[in-house]
Amino acid sequence: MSTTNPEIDSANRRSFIGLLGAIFIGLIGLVMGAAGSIYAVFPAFFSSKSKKDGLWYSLKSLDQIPNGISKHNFTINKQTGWANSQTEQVVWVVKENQSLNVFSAVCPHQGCLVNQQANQFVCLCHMSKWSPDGTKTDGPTPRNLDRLDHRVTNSNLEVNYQNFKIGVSEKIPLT
Amino acid sequence: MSFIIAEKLTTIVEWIDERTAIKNLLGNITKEPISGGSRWAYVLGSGLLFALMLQMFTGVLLLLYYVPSSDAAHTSVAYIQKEVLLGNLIRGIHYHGTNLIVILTVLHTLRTFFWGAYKSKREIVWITGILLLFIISGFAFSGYLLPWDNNAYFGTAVRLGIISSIPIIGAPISEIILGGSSVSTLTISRFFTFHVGILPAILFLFIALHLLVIFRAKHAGSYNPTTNVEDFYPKQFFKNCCFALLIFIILSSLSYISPAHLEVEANPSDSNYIARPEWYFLFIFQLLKYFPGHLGFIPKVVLPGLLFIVVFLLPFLDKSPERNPLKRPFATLAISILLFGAILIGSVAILEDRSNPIVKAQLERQSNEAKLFLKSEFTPKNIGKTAIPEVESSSPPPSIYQTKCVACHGDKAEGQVGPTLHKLSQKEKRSREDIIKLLKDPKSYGLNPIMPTFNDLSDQELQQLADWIVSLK
Repeated sequence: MSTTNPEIDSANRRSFIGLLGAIFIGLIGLVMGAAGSIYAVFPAFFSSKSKKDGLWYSLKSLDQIPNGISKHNFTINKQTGWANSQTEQVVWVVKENQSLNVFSAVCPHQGCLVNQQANQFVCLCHMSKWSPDGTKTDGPTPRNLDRLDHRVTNSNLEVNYQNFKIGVSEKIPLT
Repeated sequence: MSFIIAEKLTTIVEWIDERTAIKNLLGNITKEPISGGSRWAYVLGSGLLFALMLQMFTGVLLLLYYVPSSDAAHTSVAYIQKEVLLGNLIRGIHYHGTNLIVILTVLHTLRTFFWGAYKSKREIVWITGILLLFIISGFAFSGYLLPWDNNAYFGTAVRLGIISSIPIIGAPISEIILGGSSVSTLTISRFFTFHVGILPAILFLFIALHLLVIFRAKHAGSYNPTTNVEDFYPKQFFKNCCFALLIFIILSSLSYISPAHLEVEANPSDSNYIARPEWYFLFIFQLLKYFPGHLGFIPKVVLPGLLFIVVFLLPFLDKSPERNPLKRPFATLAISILLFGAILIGSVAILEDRSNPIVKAQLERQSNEAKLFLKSEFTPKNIGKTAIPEVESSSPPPSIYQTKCVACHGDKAEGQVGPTLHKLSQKEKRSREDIIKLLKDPKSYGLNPIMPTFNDLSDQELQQLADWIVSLK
């Protein structure tokens, strides 16, 4: 059915150009919103420049590492955004006779840093406890301490430093 | 089914309207009467508002990566421009948006002037508009320094120099603005605070005021008396939307066609650098040349001050109700002469720069250097407790490097004015043979005029250089 009423025609035309104007603005909003979102999430999803974890770092000469529990700092280099940043990281080394273990100091529960108290590891945030071999003995921690791979190159102890998902019972490396 | 949804929607709308009177507000806006009907000439104000909103949006996004310190500002801007996905678009819109806003502000003010739209109870509309013009200049002034490249640094140094040379009050004002006696990292913090903290708040306030008084005074419409009145919606609304779309298309295409300008990091000791103001300040720059030192305050303070007073008080100086520009020839002619004078004097500034071979060559060099810098690969800045050891080459550079190359490429070939030479041979068209050819004829590799030609070197020297560059990892 075609309309011949000029008043309705004019009203239709009015609402059409009003709608078209609104569509233009909506289009700009959509494009800018999408572009802005991509730009904002770039470092999380699109940046290939940030180096992933899981690189080998030299800690110390093996004969300088004492028996028992000892704490070791080392510096990691990482490109984050516009910066090449050097950040200090810390690991726990447990040396007993012939065996040697390296543990991440990050508590698997909520990500606090684990401390040493006498002959055990304690996280003072929520009082989780582990024996020197990393087995959980007390507290809310979902798993044992995270053991890191290590190797000895030219009598230097090196560690493959990486982070793991916290709050879960399995040890899942973060990439 | 759809009937039920429509009914529900109406109920929701009614619920909101009962509490906010939103229908009334929208009704007032859409029914805003335009005397003489809608016109393309009236899109400038809303276009300006749209451009300012875009500026706000892109500006907030730039804050995600920008760092306001002399250590990191330039690197973080280069990171946005070169690395972040769509960073060139976001910064491009913000950069070109500035120029567009200047153009729109001038056109909008001129349109208001020629249409006599500041008359008959629109004095406050005009005054808030002129204050907005100053707020917008404040944005341009403070945003200019933030990328911390040579252009930003020397441009700001000159502007502050102009302020400090104003008799008596100049020096203390300039020190307050700078946060000390020279442009420094404190200046960046101050300009940054001003640009993203203080000015936006003032801008919002004055835009709100400007719009409020416009709604009260009604749109001025045609300057000829007419009984034909049209609602703002839909025709004027549609024209405004078209103009917004045009602005958006222009700005986003410009950010790809002509990427936002960024030069090498500010180097306060670069005595060769020639600072030139943005095109819209060229006329003041040129006027400064005509007045000897002790009279410099005339173009700096007296002329702009007089102009400001006249413009600010315009609705009170010109009280005749006549709005047609042809029927008030004196006002129309005076502003036209001022405008053409400014354009003319600004053009003379450009012509003078072009006719001086030394200035011309240096300006070209700067512009090429900026283009080269934008094309070069992004290098992150080292931060943290211990510095990363410099990349050492396998062998010391040949002696010819120390005499010919070190000034631009740095002692460790890490790159300064020229790009880094490390990993150069891994790039396309930069094999050992290419490097030798390039040294003899950089033009054929698209590097002239920044990279000088070295055809005076012996073959042995060229080979030594190429061998060493290839050895850089």
